[in-house]
Amino acid sequence: MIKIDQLSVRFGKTRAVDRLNLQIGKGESILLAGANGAGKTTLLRAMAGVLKADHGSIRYEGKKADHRSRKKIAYIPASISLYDGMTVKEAARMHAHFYGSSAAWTLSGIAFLPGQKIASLSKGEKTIFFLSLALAAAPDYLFVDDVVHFLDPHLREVFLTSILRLIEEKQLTVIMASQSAFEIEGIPERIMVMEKGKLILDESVDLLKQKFVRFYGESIPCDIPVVFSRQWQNAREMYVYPYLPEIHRLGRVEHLNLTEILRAFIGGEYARH
Amino acid sequence: MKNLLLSTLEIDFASPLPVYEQIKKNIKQAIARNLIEENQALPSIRDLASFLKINPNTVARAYRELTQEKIINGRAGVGFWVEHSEQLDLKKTDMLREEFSKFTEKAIEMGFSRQQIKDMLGSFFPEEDPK
Repeated sequence: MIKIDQLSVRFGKTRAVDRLNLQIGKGESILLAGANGAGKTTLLRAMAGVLKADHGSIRYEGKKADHRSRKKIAYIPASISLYDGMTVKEAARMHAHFYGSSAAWTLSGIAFLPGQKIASLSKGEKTIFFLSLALAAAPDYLFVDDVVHFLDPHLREVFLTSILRLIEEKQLTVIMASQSAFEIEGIPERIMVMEKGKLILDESVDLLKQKFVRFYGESIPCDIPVVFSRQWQNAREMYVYPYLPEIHRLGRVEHLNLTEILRAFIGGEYARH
Repeated sequence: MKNLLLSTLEIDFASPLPVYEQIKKNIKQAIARNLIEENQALPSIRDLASFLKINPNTVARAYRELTQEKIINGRAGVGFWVEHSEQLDLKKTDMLREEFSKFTEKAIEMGFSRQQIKDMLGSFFPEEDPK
Protein backbone atom coordinates (compact mmCIF):
# COMPACT_ATOMS: atom_id res chain seq x y z
CA MET A 1 0.00 0.00 0.00
CA ILE A 2 1.12 3.55 -0.72
CA LYS A 3 0.14 6.35 1.62
CA ILE A 4 0.83 9.97 0.76
CA ASP A 5 0.28 12.71 3.32
CA GLN A 6 0.30 16.44 2.66
CA LEU A 7 2.81 16.10 -0.16
CA SER A 8 4.13 19.34 -1.65
CA VAL A 9 6.75 19.86 -4.32
CA ARG A 10 7.71 23.42 -5.16
CA PHE A 11 9.48 24.87 -8.15
CA GLY A 12 10.27 28.44 -7.14
CA LYS A 13 6.95 29.94 -6.14
CA THR A 14 4.71 27.41 -7.87
CA ARG A 15 3.58 24.33 -6.07
CA ALA A 16 3.65 21.60 -8.71
CA VAL A 17 2.17 19.26 -6.11
CA ASP A 18 0.11 21.01 -3.47
CA ARG A 19 -0.60 19.36 -0.11
CA LEU A 20 -1.77 16.18 -1.75
CA ASN A 21 -3.20 13.22 0.18
CA LEU A 22 -3.61 9.83 -1.40
CA GLN A 23 -3.90 6.13 -0.63
CA ILE A 24 -3.29 3.38 -3.13
CA GLY A 25 -3.89 -0.30 -2.44
CA LYS A 26 -1.83 -3.21 -3.69
CA GLY A 27 -2.64 -4.27 -7.22
CA GLU A 28 -4.61 -1.17 -8.15
CA SER A 29 -4.42 0.16 -11.71
CA ILE A 30 -4.77 3.90 -11.86
CA LEU A 31 -4.96 6.44 -14.64
CA LEU A 32 -3.60 9.81 -13.56
CA ALA A 33 -4.95 12.47 -15.88
CA GLY A 34 -4.80 16.24 -16.08
CA ALA A 35 -3.87 19.09 -18.40
CA ASN A 36 -0.28 19.97 -19.27
CA GLY A 37 1.41 21.30 -16.15
CA ALA A 38 -1.17 19.86 -13.72
CA GLY A 39 1.57 18.13 -11.72
CA LYS A 40 1.28 14.52 -12.92
CA THR A 41 4.95 14.04 -13.78
CA THR A 42 6.09 15.79 -10.59
CA LEU A 43 3.88 13.54 -8.48
CA LEU A 44 5.18 10.38 -10.18
CA ARG A 45 8.77 11.58 -9.87
CA ALA A 46 8.32 12.30 -6.17
CA MET A 47 6.71 8.88 -5.67
CA ALA A 48 9.55 7.18 -7.55
CA GLY A 49 12.09 8.99 -5.38
CA VAL A 50 13.63 10.77 -8.36
CA LEU A 51 12.59 14.10 -6.92
CA LYS A 52 12.68 15.27 -3.32
CA ALA A 53 9.46 16.53 -1.81
CA ASP A 54 9.46 19.88 0.01
CA HIS A 55 6.88 18.79 2.48
CA GLY A 56 4.85 15.74 3.48
CA SER A 57 5.50 12.03 3.34
CA ILE A 58 5.22 9.06 1.03
CA ARG A 59 5.05 5.68 2.70
CA TYR A 60 5.32 2.26 1.09
CA GLU A 61 3.90 -0.57 3.21
CA GLY A 62 3.93 1.79 6.17
CA LYS A 63 7.59 2.70 5.80
CA LYS A 64 9.25 5.82 4.49
CA ALA A 65 10.74 5.26 1.07
CA ASP A 66 14.45 4.42 1.15
CA HIS A 67 16.89 2.88 -1.32
CA ARG A 68 15.53 -0.60 -0.60
CA SER A 69 11.88 0.23 -1.21
CA ARG A 70 12.95 2.12 -4.32
CA LYS A 71 14.16 -1.11 -5.84
CA LYS A 72 10.53 -2.22 -5.82
CA ILE A 73 9.50 0.82 -7.84
CA ALA A 74 9.86 1.02 -11.60
CA TYR A 75 9.46 4.43 -13.16
CA ILE A 76 9.25 4.95 -16.90
CA PRO A 77 9.71 8.66 -17.68
CA ALA A 78 8.39 10.31 -20.81
CA SER A 79 11.85 11.15 -22.04
CA ILE A 80 14.92 9.16 -21.19
CA SER A 81 18.41 10.42 -21.94
CA LEU A 82 20.23 8.89 -18.98
CA TYR A 83 21.89 6.02 -20.84
CA ASP A 84 22.19 7.70 -24.24
CA GLY A 85 25.97 7.35 -24.47
CA MET A 86 25.88 3.62 -23.77
CA THR A 87 25.15 0.54 -25.80
CA VAL A 88 22.19 -1.73 -25.05
CA LYS A 89 24.50 -4.18 -23.29
CA GLU A 90 26.18 -1.52 -21.14
CA ALA A 91 22.89 0.05 -20.13
CA ALA A 92 21.46 -3.35 -19.17
CA ARG A 93 24.57 -4.09 -17.08
CA MET A 94 24.37 -0.70 -15.38
CA HIS A 95 20.71 -1.24 -14.58
CA ALA A 96 21.42 -4.74 -13.24
CA HIS A 97 24.09 -3.24 -10.99
CA PHE A 98 21.60 -0.79 -9.45
CA TYR A 99 18.67 -3.16 -9.15
CA GLY A 100 20.51 -6.43 -8.64
CA SER A 101 18.43 -8.02 -11.35
CA SER A 102 19.54 -9.96 -14.35
CA ALA A 103 18.18 -7.70 -17.02
CA ALA A 104 16.54 -9.37 -19.93
CA TRP A 105 16.62 -7.07 -22.89
CA THR A 106 14.00 -8.83 -24.85
CA LEU A 107 10.35 -8.24 -24.24
CA SER A 108 7.55 -10.05 -26.02
CA GLY A 109 9.58 -10.66 -29.13
CA ILE A 110 11.22 -7.26 -29.42
CA ALA A 111 14.96 -7.96 -29.37
CA PHE A 112 17.63 -5.32 -29.05
CA LEU A 113 21.15 -5.82 -30.38
CA PRO A 114 23.71 -5.76 -27.55
CA GLY A 115 26.04 -3.40 -29.41
CA GLN A 116 23.33 -0.96 -30.43
CA LYS A 117 23.70 2.59 -29.06
CA ILE A 118 20.78 3.67 -26.86
CA ALA A 119 20.86 7.07 -28.55
CA SER A 120 20.16 5.39 -31.90
CA LEU A 121 16.88 3.85 -30.71
CA SER A 122 13.62 5.60 -31.56
CA LYS A 123 11.68 7.18 -28.71
CA GLY A 124 9.26 4.25 -28.73
CA GLU A 125 12.02 1.61 -28.81
CA LYS A 126 13.77 3.35 -25.94
CA THR A 127 10.58 3.22 -23.91
CA ILE A 128 10.17 -0.51 -24.59
CA PHE A 129 13.83 -1.10 -23.76
CA PHE A 130 13.51 0.66 -20.41
CA LEU A 131 10.26 -1.09 -19.68
CA SER A 132 11.98 -4.44 -20.23
CA LEU A 133 14.80 -3.42 -17.88
CA ALA A 134 12.34 -2.15 -15.30
CA LEU A 135 10.15 -5.25 -15.42
CA ALA A 136 13.18 -7.55 -15.16
CA ALA A 137 13.70 -6.13 -11.67
CA ALA A 138 10.30 -7.63 -10.67
CA PRO A 139 8.84 -4.37 -9.31
CA ASP A 140 5.80 -4.15 -7.06
CA TYR A 141 4.98 -0.67 -8.34
CA LEU A 142 5.10 0.64 -11.87
CA PHE A 143 4.76 4.34 -12.57
CA VAL A 144 4.50 5.19 -16.25
CA ASP A 145 4.62 8.76 -17.44
CA ASP A 146 2.78 9.85 -20.57
CA VAL A 147 4.41 7.42 -23.01
CA VAL A 148 1.59 5.40 -24.52
CA HIS A 149 0.59 8.02 -27.06
CA PHE A 150 3.92 8.08 -28.89
CA LEU A 151 4.27 4.32 -29.21
CA ASP A 152 3.30 2.93 -32.60
CA PRO A 153 0.40 0.44 -32.57
CA HIS A 154 2.68 -2.60 -32.39
CA LEU A 155 4.95 -1.29 -29.63
CA ARG A 156 1.89 -0.10 -27.74
CA GLU A 157 0.51 -3.61 -27.81
CA VAL A 158 3.83 -5.05 -26.59
CA PHE A 159 3.91 -2.44 -23.86
CA LEU A 160 0.35 -2.99 -22.65
CA THR A 161 0.49 -6.78 -22.87
CA SER A 162 3.62 -6.83 -20.69
CA ILE A 163 1.91 -4.67 -18.09
CA LEU A 164 -1.33 -6.68 -18.14
CA ARG A 165 0.66 -9.84 -17.60
CA LEU A 166 2.34 -8.48 -14.47
CA ILE A 167 -0.95 -7.19 -13.11
CA GLU A 168 -2.25 -10.74 -13.34
CA GLU A 169 0.86 -12.59 -12.17
CA LYS A 170 2.23 -10.32 -9.47
CA GLN A 171 -0.58 -7.98 -8.56
CA LEU A 172 1.54 -5.13 -9.85
CA THR A 173 0.35 -1.68 -8.75
CA VAL A 174 0.27 0.57 -11.82
CA ILE A 175 -0.11 4.31 -12.21
CA MET A 176 -0.21 5.60 -15.76
CA ALA A 177 -0.06 9.33 -16.30
CA SER A 178 -1.85 10.37 -19.45
CA GLN A 179 -3.96 13.18 -20.80
CA SER A 180 -6.32 10.77 -22.41
CA ALA A 181 -7.58 7.24 -21.98
CA PHE A 182 -7.30 6.56 -25.69
CA GLU A 183 -6.14 2.96 -26.28
CA ILE A 184 -5.88 2.24 -22.54
CA GLU A 185 -9.56 2.65 -21.70
CA GLY A 186 -9.97 -0.89 -20.30
CA ILE A 187 -6.91 -0.97 -18.08
CA PRO A 188 -7.41 1.47 -15.18
CA GLU A 189 -9.85 0.68 -12.38
CA ARG A 190 -9.49 4.08 -10.80
CA ILE A 191 -9.21 7.57 -12.26
CA MET A 192 -7.49 10.54 -10.71
CA VAL A 193 -7.50 13.98 -12.28
CA MET A 194 -5.00 16.60 -11.15
CA GLU A 195 -5.32 20.32 -11.50
CA LYS A 196 -2.72 22.78 -10.24
CA GLY A 197 -1.04 20.25 -8.01
CA LYS A 198 -4.25 18.98 -6.41
CA LEU A 199 -6.56 16.07 -7.09
CA ILE A 200 -9.90 17.31 -8.39
CA LEU A 201 -11.21 13.81 -9.05
CA ASP A 202 -10.53 10.42 -7.52
CA GLU A 203 -13.16 7.85 -8.46
CA SER A 204 -13.49 4.24 -9.53
CA VAL A 205 -13.96 3.85 -13.28
CA ASP A 206 -17.23 1.96 -12.86
CA LEU A 207 -18.78 4.69 -10.72
CA LEU A 208 -17.37 7.52 -12.82
CA LYS A 209 -19.00 6.11 -15.95
CA GLN A 210 -22.33 5.87 -14.14
CA LYS A 211 -22.15 9.34 -12.62
CA PHE A 212 -20.83 11.32 -15.59
CA VAL A 213 -23.25 12.29 -18.36
CA ARG A 214 -23.65 14.66 -21.28
CA PHE A 215 -26.83 16.38 -22.25
CA TYR A 216 -27.96 19.26 -24.45
CA GLY A 217 -30.12 22.17 -23.37
CA GLU A 218 -30.68 25.89 -23.76
CA SER A 219 -28.78 27.09 -20.73
CA ILE A 220 -27.01 25.72 -17.68
CA PRO A 221 -29.53 24.80 -14.95
CA CYS A 222 -28.45 26.49 -11.73
CA ASP A 223 -28.52 23.45 -9.45
CA ILE A 224 -26.73 20.95 -11.67
CA PRO A 225 -22.98 20.32 -11.27
CA VAL A 226 -21.76 21.12 -14.79
CA VAL A 227 -18.08 20.28 -15.21
CA PHE A 228 -17.72 21.69 -18.69
CA SER A 229 -20.00 23.18 -21.30
CA ARG A 230 -19.79 24.69 -24.73
CA GLN A 231 -22.15 26.62 -26.90
CA TRP A 232 -23.19 25.40 -30.33
CA GLN A 233 -25.33 27.34 -32.77
CA ASN A 234 -28.61 26.23 -31.29
CA ALA A 235 -27.79 24.26 -28.17
CA ARG A 236 -25.53 24.19 -25.17
CA GLU A 237 -23.59 20.99 -24.68
CA MET A 238 -23.18 20.20 -20.98
CA TYR A 239 -21.11 17.66 -19.09
CA VAL A 240 -22.43 16.80 -15.65
CA TYR A 241 -20.71 15.15 -12.70
CA PRO A 242 -21.89 13.82 -10.36
CA TYR A 243 -25.15 13.07 -12.08
CA LEU A 244 -27.90 11.83 -9.85
CA PRO A 245 -30.44 9.65 -11.62
CA GLU A 246 -33.21 11.60 -9.85
CA ILE A 247 -32.57 14.52 -12.20
CA HIS A 248 -34.99 13.30 -14.84
CA ARG A 249 -35.88 16.73 -16.04
CA LEU A 250 -32.60 17.01 -17.95
CA GLY A 251 -34.24 14.88 -20.57
CA ARG A 252 -32.10 12.52 -22.53
CA VAL A 253 -28.62 12.03 -21.11
CA GLU A 254 -25.70 10.14 -22.64
CA HIS A 255 -23.04 8.13 -20.90
CA LEU A 256 -19.51 8.53 -22.23
CA ASN A 257 -16.22 6.72 -22.52
CA LEU A 258 -13.23 7.70 -20.41
CA THR A 259 -11.51 9.66 -23.14
CA GLU A 260 -14.53 11.94 -23.50
CA ILE A 261 -14.96 12.24 -19.74
CA LEU A 262 -11.31 13.26 -19.29
CA ARG A 263 -11.53 15.71 -22.17
CA ALA A 264 -14.43 17.42 -20.38
CA PHE A 265 -12.56 17.59 -17.07
CA ILE A 266 -9.51 19.09 -18.74
CA GLY A 267 -11.63 21.46 -20.84
CA GLY A 268 -13.33 22.55 -17.63
CA GLU A 269 -9.99 23.40 -16.12
CA TYR A 270 -9.15 25.76 -18.99
CA ALA A 271 -12.57 27.37 -18.72
CA ARG A 272 -12.00 28.12 -15.04
CA HIS A 273 -8.58 29.75 -15.36
CA MET B 1 -15.43 -23.02 -32.54
CA LYS B 2 -13.19 -21.59 -29.87
CA ASN B 3 -12.79 -18.26 -31.61
CA LEU B 4 -16.50 -17.70 -31.92
CA LEU B 5 -16.64 -16.36 -28.40
CA LEU B 6 -13.85 -13.86 -29.00
CA SER B 7 -15.50 -12.64 -32.17
CA THR B 8 -18.82 -12.02 -30.41
CA LEU B 9 -17.38 -10.24 -27.39
CA GLU B 10 -18.11 -6.58 -27.67
CA ILE B 11 -17.16 -4.10 -25.01
CA ASP B 12 -18.84 -0.71 -25.09
CA PHE B 13 -16.61 1.62 -23.10
CA ALA B 14 -19.21 4.35 -23.18
CA SER B 15 -21.76 2.17 -21.41
CA PRO B 16 -22.51 2.76 -17.73
CA LEU B 17 -22.61 -1.03 -17.40
CA PRO B 18 -19.23 -2.04 -15.90
CA VAL B 19 -16.94 -3.99 -18.23
CA TYR B 20 -17.05 -7.15 -16.07
CA GLU B 21 -20.86 -7.10 -16.34
CA GLN B 22 -20.59 -6.72 -20.10
CA ILE B 23 -18.29 -9.75 -20.29
CA LYS B 24 -20.70 -11.80 -18.18
CA LYS B 25 -23.59 -10.77 -20.39
CA ASN B 26 -21.64 -11.51 -23.59
CA ILE B 27 -20.70 -14.99 -22.40
CA LYS B 28 -24.25 -15.79 -21.33
CA GLN B 29 -25.53 -14.64 -24.69
CA ALA B 30 -22.91 -16.69 -26.52
CA ILE B 31 -23.99 -19.78 -24.58
CA ALA B 32 -27.66 -19.07 -25.18
CA ARG B 33 -27.01 -18.66 -28.91
CA ASN B 34 -25.06 -21.94 -28.94
CA LEU B 35 -21.88 -20.20 -30.02
CA ILE B 36 -20.07 -22.00 -27.22
CA GLU B 37 -21.10 -25.40 -26.00
CA GLU B 38 -21.25 -27.25 -22.74
CA ASN B 39 -17.81 -28.27 -21.42
CA GLN B 40 -16.09 -26.06 -23.94
CA ALA B 41 -13.07 -24.19 -22.59
CA LEU B 42 -13.23 -20.43 -22.25
CA PRO B 43 -10.20 -18.29 -23.11
CA SER B 44 -7.78 -17.95 -20.19
CA ILE B 45 -7.99 -14.78 -18.10
CA ARG B 46 -4.70 -13.64 -19.60
CA ASP B 47 -5.75 -14.27 -23.20
CA LEU B 48 -9.08 -12.56 -22.85
CA ALA B 49 -7.50 -9.57 -21.06
CA SER B 50 -4.84 -9.21 -23.78
CA PHE B 51 -7.36 -9.70 -26.55
CA LEU B 52 -9.72 -7.03 -25.21
CA LYS B 53 -6.89 -4.82 -23.83
CA ILE B 54 -8.53 -4.78 -20.45
CA ASN B 55 -7.39 -5.33 -16.91
CA PRO B 56 -7.06 -9.05 -16.06
CA ASN B 57 -8.78 -8.31 -12.74
CA THR B 58 -11.88 -7.36 -14.73
CA VAL B 59 -11.92 -10.70 -16.56
CA ALA B 60 -11.19 -12.55 -13.32
CA ARG B 61 -14.16 -10.87 -11.67
CA ALA B 62 -16.48 -11.79 -14.55
CA TYR B 63 -15.32 -15.42 -14.47
CA ARG B 64 -15.58 -15.57 -10.68
CA GLU B 65 -19.15 -14.33 -10.70
CA LEU B 66 -20.14 -16.62 -13.59
CA THR B 67 -18.69 -19.49 -11.58
CA GLN B 68 -20.78 -18.49 -8.58
CA GLU B 69 -23.83 -18.37 -10.80
CA LYS B 70 -22.91 -21.88 -12.01
CA ILE B 71 -22.83 -20.78 -15.64
CA ILE B 72 -19.18 -21.78 -15.91
CA ASN B 73 -16.81 -23.80 -13.76
CA GLY B 74 -13.08 -23.82 -13.10
CA ARG B 75 -10.53 -21.60 -11.46
CA ALA B 76 -7.71 -19.21 -12.25
CA GLY B 77 -4.54 -20.99 -13.31
CA VAL B 78 -6.40 -24.17 -14.28
CA GLY B 79 -8.95 -22.90 -16.75
CA PHE B 80 -12.65 -22.28 -17.10
CA TRP B 81 -15.27 -24.15 -19.07
CA VAL B 82 -18.98 -23.90 -19.74
CA GLU B 83 -21.29 -25.75 -17.39
CA HIS B 84 -24.57 -27.28 -18.33
CA SER B 85 -27.10 -24.83 -17.04
CA GLU B 86 -30.86 -25.14 -17.07
CA GLN B 87 -30.96 -21.76 -15.48
CA LEU B 88 -29.54 -20.26 -18.66
CA ASP B 89 -32.33 -21.80 -20.75
CA LEU B 90 -34.75 -19.75 -18.68
CA LYS B 91 -32.69 -16.65 -19.29
CA LYS B 92 -33.07 -16.95 -23.05
CA THR B 93 -36.51 -15.41 -22.73
CA ASP B 94 -35.10 -12.45 -20.83
CA MET B 95 -32.40 -11.95 -23.43
CA LEU B 96 -34.85 -11.97 -26.30
CA ARG B 97 -37.18 -9.67 -24.39
CA GLU B 98 -34.35 -7.21 -23.93
CA GLU B 99 -33.61 -7.19 -27.67
CA PHE B 100 -37.31 -6.61 -28.42
CA SER B 101 -37.55 -3.79 -25.93
CA LYS B 102 -34.60 -1.98 -27.55
CA PHE B 103 -36.14 -2.53 -30.96
CA THR B 104 -39.61 -1.33 -30.06
CA GLU B 105 -38.27 1.68 -28.20
CA LYS B 106 -36.43 2.82 -31.32
CA ALA B 107 -39.41 2.10 -33.56
CA ILE B 108 -41.74 4.12 -31.31
CA GLU B 109 -39.23 6.99 -31.31
CA MET B 110 -39.33 6.95 -35.10
CA GLY B 111 -43.09 7.30 -34.92
CA PHE B 112 -44.21 3.86 -36.07
CA SER B 113 -47.57 2.65 -34.80
CA ARG B 114 -48.13 -0.55 -32.86
CA GLN B 115 -49.61 -2.25 -35.91
CA GLN B 116 -46.81 -1.12 -38.22
CA ILE B 117 -44.22 -2.53 -35.84
CA LYS B 118 -46.04 -5.86 -35.62
CA ASP B 119 -46.43 -6.03 -39.39
CA MET B 120 -42.79 -5.30 -39.98
CA LEU B 121 -41.70 -7.94 -37.49
CA GLY B 122 -44.01 -10.46 -39.19
CA SER B 123 -42.50 -9.69 -42.58
CA PHE B 124 -39.16 -11.14 -41.43
CA PHE B 125 -40.55 -14.65 -41.03
CA PRO B 126 -40.20 -17.01 -44.00
CA GLU B 127 -43.43 -17.49 -45.99
CA GLU B 128 -43.70 -21.22 -45.26
CA ASP B 129 -43.64 -20.65 -41.54
CA PRO B 130 -46.58 -18.45 -40.64
CA LYS B 131 -45.96 -18.81 -36.89
